Amino acid sequence: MNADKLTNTQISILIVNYMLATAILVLPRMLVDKAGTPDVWLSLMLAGVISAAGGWLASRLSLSFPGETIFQYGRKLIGKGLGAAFGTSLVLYFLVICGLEARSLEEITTKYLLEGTPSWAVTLPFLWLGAYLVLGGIQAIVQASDLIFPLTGFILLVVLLLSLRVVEFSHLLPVLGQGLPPVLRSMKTAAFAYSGPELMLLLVAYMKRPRSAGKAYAAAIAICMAFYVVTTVIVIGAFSIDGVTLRTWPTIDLIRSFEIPGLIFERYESLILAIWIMKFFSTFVLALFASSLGISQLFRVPFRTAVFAQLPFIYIVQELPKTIEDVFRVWDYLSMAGAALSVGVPALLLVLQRWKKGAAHGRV
Amino acid sequence: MSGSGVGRAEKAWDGDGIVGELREELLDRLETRADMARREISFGRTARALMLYIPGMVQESKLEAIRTEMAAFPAPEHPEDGEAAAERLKLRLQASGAERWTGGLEELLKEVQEGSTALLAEGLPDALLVDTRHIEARSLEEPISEAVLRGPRIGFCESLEKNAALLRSYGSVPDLAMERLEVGSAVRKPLLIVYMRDVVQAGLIEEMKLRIRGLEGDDFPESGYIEQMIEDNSYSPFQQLQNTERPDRVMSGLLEGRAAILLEGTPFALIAPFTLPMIIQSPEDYYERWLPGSLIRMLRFFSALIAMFTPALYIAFTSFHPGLIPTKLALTVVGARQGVPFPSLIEALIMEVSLEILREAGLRLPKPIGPAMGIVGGLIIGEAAVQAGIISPILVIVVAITAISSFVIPVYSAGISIRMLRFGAMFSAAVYGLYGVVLFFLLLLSHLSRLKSFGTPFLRPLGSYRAHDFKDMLVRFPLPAMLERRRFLAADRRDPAKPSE
Repeated sequence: MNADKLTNTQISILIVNYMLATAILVLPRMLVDKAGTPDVWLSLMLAGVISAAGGWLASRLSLSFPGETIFQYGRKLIGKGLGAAFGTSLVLYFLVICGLEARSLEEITTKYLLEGTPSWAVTLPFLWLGAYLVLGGIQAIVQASDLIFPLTGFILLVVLLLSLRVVEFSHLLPVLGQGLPPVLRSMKTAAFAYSGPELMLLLVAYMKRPRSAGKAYAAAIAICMAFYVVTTVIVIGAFSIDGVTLRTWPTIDLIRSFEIPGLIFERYESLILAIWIMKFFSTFVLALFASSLGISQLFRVPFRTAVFAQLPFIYIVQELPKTIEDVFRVWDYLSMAGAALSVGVPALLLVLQRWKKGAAHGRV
Repeated sequence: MSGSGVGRAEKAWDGDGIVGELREELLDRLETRADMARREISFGRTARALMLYIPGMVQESKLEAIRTEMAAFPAPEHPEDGEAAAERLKLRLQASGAERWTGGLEELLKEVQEGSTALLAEGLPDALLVDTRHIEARSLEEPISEAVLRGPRIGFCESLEKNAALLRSYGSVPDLAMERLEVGSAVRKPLLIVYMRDVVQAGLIEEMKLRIRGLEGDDFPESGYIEQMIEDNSYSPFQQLQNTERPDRVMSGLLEGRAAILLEGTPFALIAPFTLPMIIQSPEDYYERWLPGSLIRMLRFFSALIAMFTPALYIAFTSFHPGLIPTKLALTVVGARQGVPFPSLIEALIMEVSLEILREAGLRLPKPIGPAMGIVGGLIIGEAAVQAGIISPILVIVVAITAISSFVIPVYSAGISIRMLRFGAMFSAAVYGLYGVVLFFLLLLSHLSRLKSFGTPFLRPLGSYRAHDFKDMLVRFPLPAMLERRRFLAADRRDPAKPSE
């Protein structure tokens, strides 16, 4: 592994790149499905705050074990068996994320770019590419993210600005027409958009200034929240809540819905999707890095072996869901698991660690 | 070579006297050194001395000076006076470059082969080595491979001494350090590592010396040998050291914290570490005002993208996604392809390969025939291929744009990388369409993210997030704003958290 340490900005960009991929394409529909009101942007904001708190918790926890990831300090904190169990579930979590990310990519590619291409033909080169980048270590991933983030961020921004023309803000009214319950109901789904605190359990080990990890994470959340809220508002404003629920990929349909005469290309969605593939790639790569790191540190296998050993399993995971609806259902469960893994457990661990420390002090 | 043809009061050495016990051995060694002149001159009253040197490697005026001094030098009367006489002789010849006395035959021959003159005088125990080195070098000319419209017209030549002097005389640079190493086992060649003492990236020089010392090989005729043997990744399509003939380019590299390698016998210096943005940088960007400088640089960037991806996009759009382009354009493109008997990959390959052949042929031909080649290749083949219906005219346009764009890259060898990768992009586009192009881009990105040049990430300043590092990437900021940036690699050295590689 690389000895170079990461700066705050690098961490923020990594996290933004990790979170902001599939979610933004489907989020409006998933949220509206649950809530049934246009107020979902509120739940997005609340979920963001919760995620920031989770990230802060995770960073606090990691801070007590400088230079170590959760896979290493887990056993020190809660004993060998429990630590390994928690580490393994985290690895599985990341592995499933890899699989789902690959699946979403496959779905989108076969739907919009390469109709009728067999799924393995689409997925395999993608998996290999991810493995290739991951083998370069966290520094290589940072380098790649740094190019992917501005490129995709800029494109997303342009798309959002252009689509302002088709937005009718009356679609967003009434605000809180049914009170808070729908907002709270959709929070669970919104959490799916902010799966990121779990990354802090291992990324803090690579930071140059781990003390400010919480701040770096909060900055990342702020950027993502801005993108999410604006996108959701615009998508709902364009299609109204009834229109949104009818569309599998509402954000993509938004891009399809307007034309800019006079430009070279008429249909942008494929082009933009082609670029969005990079976003899938960066999420995939980071999740693969996390799970490989976990395997290599938990079971003391070389990093290289860990990366390659996972590829078949990722492929199986991505083949498992029958339809795209299944994928979203898995994703729903996964975000629950993520919330538990990344907020609940670290909170418990933190309390435990404080208590242990206190006990140790008491004895001395 | 030795002996005849010199109308002076000296003669070729016939092998007698003078050198005492060394005689047999020296004669033996000189047998296979026909290019070494051996001249006998007389000094004192009857004493004789022998001069050994290689004509063409020595400065005639210095030889003349030796002769004059010797003529006035009184020979030692007794053998015991030898030591004192030797001291006197050395003093006399000091101005002509007298270096030291040597008793070793090996050292003597080695020095003479490098251009010194050895003086063996009767009555003196050892041989005096006089530095008379003078090698004819090509005069300093404008670099052919890196011509600029505005900027110094001077380029390096084949002489290491001259090149080093060229850097020194760039201006008074007290901070400039040069370290000498030797490479090659059969042919020893000197090499200079040049850097700025206070600015150079931490650990770079140590790493460089380590790699150069580890070099094995008989001969290093060109700095390309060194480049290939010390680069980080031999399998990368990208160069990891920059070669240049321009002293100003070397100097600006040094000021950024890089180091340069100069090798005897080649005008091409190497600069390391190499980072990707250097591909689109030319010294002219700085000599022109910042606005044209920046715009031209962006133009180069887009040219690089065009050169790499246009044929791939042509293939992707024509054979996978004709629906993506506007209907009218799609109709034109498809209409133009009507009757073309090949799939678009084969069509594009035919044209791209023949373009590469044309380019290579143009390079090899003598200058007067070159333009004729262009006419035959460009006009006749292009035009005829379209009329024969093998190639669609749109593709000819695509290929022409690609070719011209790839000429824009100011670093020639980087242009070659792009030309090679273009074929990779074409193949992946032929398999996966637009998705393939994106995959290829991601592959490239992954590779570049992993690649390092002497420990520096290849994509620097990407990934560093220091705002002032970006002032010299796509946009060349106005010079006053760039002052801080100049030493961006050196910034790593002030960063205690960054370990030296």
